[in-house]
Amino acid sequence: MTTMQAAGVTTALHTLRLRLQKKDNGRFISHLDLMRAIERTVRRLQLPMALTEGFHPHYRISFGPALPLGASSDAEYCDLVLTAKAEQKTLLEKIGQQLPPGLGLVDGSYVDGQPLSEFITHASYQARLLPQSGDPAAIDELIALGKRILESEKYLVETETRKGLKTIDLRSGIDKARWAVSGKEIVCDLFLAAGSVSNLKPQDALIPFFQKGATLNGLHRSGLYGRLGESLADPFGNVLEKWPESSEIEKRWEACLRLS
Amino acid sequence: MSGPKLFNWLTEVSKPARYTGGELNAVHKDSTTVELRMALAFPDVYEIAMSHLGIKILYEILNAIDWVWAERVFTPWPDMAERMAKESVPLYALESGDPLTAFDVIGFTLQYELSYSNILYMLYLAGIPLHTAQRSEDDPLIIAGGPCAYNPEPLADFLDAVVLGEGEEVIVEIAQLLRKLKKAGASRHDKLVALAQIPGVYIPSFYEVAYTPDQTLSSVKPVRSGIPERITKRIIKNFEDAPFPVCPPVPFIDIVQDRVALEIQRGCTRGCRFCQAGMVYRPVRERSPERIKKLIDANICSTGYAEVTLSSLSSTDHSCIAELAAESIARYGASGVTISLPSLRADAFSVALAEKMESAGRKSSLTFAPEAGTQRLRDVINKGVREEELIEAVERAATAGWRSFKLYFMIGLPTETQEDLEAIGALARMVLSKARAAVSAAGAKGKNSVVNVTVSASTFVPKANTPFQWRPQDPMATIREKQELLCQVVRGRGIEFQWHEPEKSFLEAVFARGDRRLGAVLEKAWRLGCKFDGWNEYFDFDAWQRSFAECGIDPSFYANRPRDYQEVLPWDHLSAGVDRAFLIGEDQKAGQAALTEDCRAGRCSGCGVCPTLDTQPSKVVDTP
Repeated sequence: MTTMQAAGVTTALHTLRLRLQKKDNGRFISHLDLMRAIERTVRRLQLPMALTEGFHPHYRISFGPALPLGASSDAEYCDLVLTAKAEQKTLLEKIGQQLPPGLGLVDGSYVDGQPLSEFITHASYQARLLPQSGDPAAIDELIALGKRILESEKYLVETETRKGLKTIDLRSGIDKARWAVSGKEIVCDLFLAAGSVSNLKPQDALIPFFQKGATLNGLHRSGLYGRLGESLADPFGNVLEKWPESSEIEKRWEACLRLS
Repeated sequence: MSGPKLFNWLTEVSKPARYTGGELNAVHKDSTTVELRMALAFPDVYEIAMSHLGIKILYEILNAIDWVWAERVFTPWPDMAERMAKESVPLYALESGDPLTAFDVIGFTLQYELSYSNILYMLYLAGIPLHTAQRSEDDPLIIAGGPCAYNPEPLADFLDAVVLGEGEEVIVEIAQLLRKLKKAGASRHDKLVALAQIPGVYIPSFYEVAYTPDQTLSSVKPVRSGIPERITKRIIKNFEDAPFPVCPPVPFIDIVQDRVALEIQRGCTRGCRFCQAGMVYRPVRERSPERIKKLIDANICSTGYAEVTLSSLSSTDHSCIAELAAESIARYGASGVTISLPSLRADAFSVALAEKMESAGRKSSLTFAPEAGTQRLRDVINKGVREEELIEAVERAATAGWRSFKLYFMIGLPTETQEDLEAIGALARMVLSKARAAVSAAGAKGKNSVVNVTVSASTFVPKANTPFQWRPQDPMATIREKQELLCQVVRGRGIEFQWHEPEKSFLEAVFARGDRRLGAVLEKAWRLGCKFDGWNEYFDFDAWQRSFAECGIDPSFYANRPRDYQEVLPWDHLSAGVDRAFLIGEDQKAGQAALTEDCRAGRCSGCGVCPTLDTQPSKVVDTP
């Protein structure tokens, strides 16, 4: 628990951490749009929010790393800093009801400890890649490419940033990866470095595949993790015993897509 | 929940959230059980369209009726429109995702002339025949309303019906009638005949226009019996209790007006002679502070917006504005909600209000609109702002902490001379020096004492239903010369000059006072690729000129020709309630630089709105 001092009065502050889903139309909103949507949700609920200092005070809300436009997720985290502690279950229910369509509440809990931005070191994604041709050889070629990347010490690619082209080493950002063939697609699970120290964007991790003509047919974020002692844990402190099975991630992904 | 298809390729177009729907408070109904489906269409991109209050008002009124489903549809940006064509996706509504052809009615709002090409663009993308005459029984009725509906003649070929005036009541009457006729299996023609009986509804195809050898109009007459010779606008007599949205859709993406726009009053009787809004939205009607506060509460609770703007044509004229502002700030300030005013009159009272609203923060820029450089020309246009008032306002603002001032002027106004233009430079320098003096008297130093003045000069566009509707617009060459002169005289350290390309203002002037013959030009221009004419990246004046030439129409006939009071004007059969005699009187007074007082001060100016519409202005507090 942290505190805030205003006019000589010390107020206890409470951090409520939320885990959100970005689904359906919510996939097409930016990180900034997500932040605005949460701020408005909080204002509609008139929660006792802590404010930042300065001329234009705003709510103290912080978010995890951004997600690419178009991707769904069931692992968008945010921290709300409150000046009063309401009963958790009721509060979460209210928040869940007030979220706009396209966003969903997966979980939430009062937390102590590190802010999200310091805690998060890894992210788990699932991507669906469509090879350039329906030829089984094209699928084999992409899987072989994936293996080559994992077996390399270094794998340099060029990526476009706002400041121009930049060379990055994929290998240092890819912690784990695995593949499975699903019909004409390759389902690719990625466990990547994420956060303020080292960060690899999933769309960058897949550059070698795009260079071979593959296209991205969907992307989902399934988890964000950070260090807890020797292990990795989710932002609520649940230790990650084992990277969830691909099929389990796929199920959670499907829950984020509107059937149309 | 139904909704637009969420194609993966949406990530390849700019701002895909424009096209996905699913915003908070968007209304979803069962398309199989509602009896009437209406699409509220704004012919511009999402961020502009979603900032428009009118659509939100009609959306909530219609969706409160259980048998109607009103949805929204806006112009897709060309990258999306091209992709939709490639993927064979017709233009769809944002709630259901259903193509526009599935609707009974599509209602366009006509906010500015440069959006007309987008109406054709949208009809094309929807696969609806452009021409009224080509539409079949199954096609939706294409109707339109909004400020430009007071002269809808250039769109007469494309619109099945036009609604004059305020839509809150008439839209419900239209919906009820169409529900009944749809049930009875009435034909498209019978629907139009029945619609023509609703006051305020104009069916362009039921009128015939005749021309004189000199190309002006000789008459506009109904072609059948039982159709009114003249259509008068609708107004809301009880504005206090008129429906106002309390649960509007909230966009995810950043839009132009990303806040609660709370309409605190309607109409303005200051009587600026160039101003169409000031004439067509009469009389002035105020909402009470009690109701405004309830509406603000409801809107913050339903949207979560952090800003409320107390909106109207001249908010500082509201008889309770000081009380309203103070109470709103006291009520919401602590929770981080800011209260703002859309524009300020150039007087100390307005600045005092703005001070209260921005007291918590750094001061952004303040904008005043003296419109003309000399007192004589300000009197010509009846802009009741005196130089002393402007200077007092600027000094007060500079003392309170503002450093950046914007001054809006119009060039090409009737009777304008070189002296008037040069005076713009002098006024800008005066504002700068008075502001600097006030800043230094307040003890500010260094960076915090730097004052800058931005002068923006737009081009006068004569509009239908204003005292200047007979006046010519300056030819583009003259406007360019005047802009060059201003570049010379509005200069110096701390002064910046901004102007607009005259081509757009010219096109605006052509369509603002155009007649039905412009329909062919519009269609031709659209076929040549014209769309989003208000946007520099798409405005193609060469294509427009080619269209005029190919149609054998001289655009300056509409924009640059003085018209006399005897001429039959294309919109003479459409009334905004203001008497023609009043407009002529005002135009003549302009010639003498004589002022007309605001009727709120107590003396009726005889504009004719109240007797014509059997109504009266309504103020909350009756103090002159």
